[in-house]
Amino acid sequence: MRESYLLPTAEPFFLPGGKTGVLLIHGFTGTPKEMRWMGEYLNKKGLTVLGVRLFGHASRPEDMLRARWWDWVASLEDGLNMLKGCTSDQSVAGLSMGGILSLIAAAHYPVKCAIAISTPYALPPDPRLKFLKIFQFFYPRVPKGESDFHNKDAEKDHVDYPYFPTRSILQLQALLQEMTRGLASIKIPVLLIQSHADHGIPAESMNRIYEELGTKQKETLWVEDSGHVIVREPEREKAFKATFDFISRCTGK
Amino acid sequence: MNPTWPQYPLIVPNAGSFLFRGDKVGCLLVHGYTSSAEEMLPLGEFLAKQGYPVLGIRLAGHGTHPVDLSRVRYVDWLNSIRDGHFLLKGMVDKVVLIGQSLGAMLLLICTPEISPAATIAISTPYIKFTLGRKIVNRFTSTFFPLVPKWHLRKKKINDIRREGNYPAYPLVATRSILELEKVQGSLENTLGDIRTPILLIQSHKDLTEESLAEITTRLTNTKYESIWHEKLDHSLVLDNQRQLVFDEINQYIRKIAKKGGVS
Repeated sequence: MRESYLLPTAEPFFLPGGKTGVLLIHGFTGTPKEMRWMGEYLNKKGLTVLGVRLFGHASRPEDMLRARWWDWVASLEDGLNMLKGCTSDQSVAGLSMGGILSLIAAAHYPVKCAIAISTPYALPPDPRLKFLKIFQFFYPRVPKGESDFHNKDAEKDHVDYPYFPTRSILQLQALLQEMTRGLASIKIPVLLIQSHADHGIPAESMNRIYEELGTKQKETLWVEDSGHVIVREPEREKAFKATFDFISRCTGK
Repeated sequence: MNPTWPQYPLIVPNAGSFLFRGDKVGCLLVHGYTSSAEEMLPLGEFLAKQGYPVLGIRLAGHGTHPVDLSRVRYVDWLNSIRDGHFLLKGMVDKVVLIGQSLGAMLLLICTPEISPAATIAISTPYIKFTLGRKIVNRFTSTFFPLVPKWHLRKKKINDIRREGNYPAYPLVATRSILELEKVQGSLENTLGDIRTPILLIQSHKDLTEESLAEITTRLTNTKYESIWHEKLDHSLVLDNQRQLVFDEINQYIRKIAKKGGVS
């Protein structure tokens, strides 16, 4: 009897490697599949990689309605706890909402470094945002805008939810507030990656996060030929390499 | 909202999922209702010492705050187990599922889907939800969302997240009892589909032979073994004499591994 299941190919993954561990976190309505190529790249370079599934994701969109933002933080904690049992140090890297969670991890957990890719500082300016609490009852689903994928092959087999559950956007908003509250207290190295061609998040996001970060060791990387999901785009190798070099430097290996 | 909330880490120390490397057949450990992965930690550490890769999963809604438990549905628990299985598959092909109480029920439900080398079900209840009880459950879940556990009813609860020295919530989120009803229903439907070996371990102090027979009579398509203890508590894996249980589990996994040709 299968009432529900995890979306095929979008399941969480664990790639055992050396003593340096990295936790990969996917984005809002996304799945661990987005992070898989990055995971395989880092694993080939000798890292132990765990791609975690956030609560309510990669199954059915209605499962996400039950999620509160701290459930996603708890999923992140689970991932870190599991890595702790089999590696000597842990780093976090995430895409979009995964980036938000990476920065929360950087503020509150003993991780070596954090990489935040395509991370928003705030939700896009939209006058309807103020009324979400009421809208969620009349418009339970917000359609996703046109995709900004540059890699059309990756877009074809991309697995995610077909729409944004309105209630979950409220949780995303709360998660963003939690992230911004913690930015100043971050003391570990942080790498921020964003694309100029990203239609999903406001362009100044990376600069705002960069300014508010409390750490002195902060780096940025801009890419051009990529949409929001940089880790599945033509320029992904550039982002992967920067991530690996950054982790190697921070863990002293 | 409590001004000191959220407190990091959100998961009670030790209550979160754990993962140990190894090179033999993999073990997926699942804890019981209102408890946390900490319940399975001693068993996990023992098995890891024997060389098994071990993953103890935290079921959704557990190990954080009782209110979180009232929000999760039983598919979230199944998905937690699926998560664990997929992560474990990164290290090994064959797995053994080991669950305690609710964990055992959920693992039996997942067994046809995962088709493991074996499933070890510890203290597996077979709960009969009568119509009267179902009505009471709906009443309490509507009007009394959090109820102290019966044995703690006269004690002052200091920490709402952990029951003193036992790794579980001191309260029951009554909404989640309705999910237990669904788990029970699903269990009744899936027992007949199980085709992989089953080991049942339980104690006379906790379960009756009749209750276990309800399960074994429905296991029509597979072979099962059952081991009875006398004086151990419901949570066999935390009892003072748990080493007995650990050794039995170890022996059983070795036997299964030998038979299946996996090292």
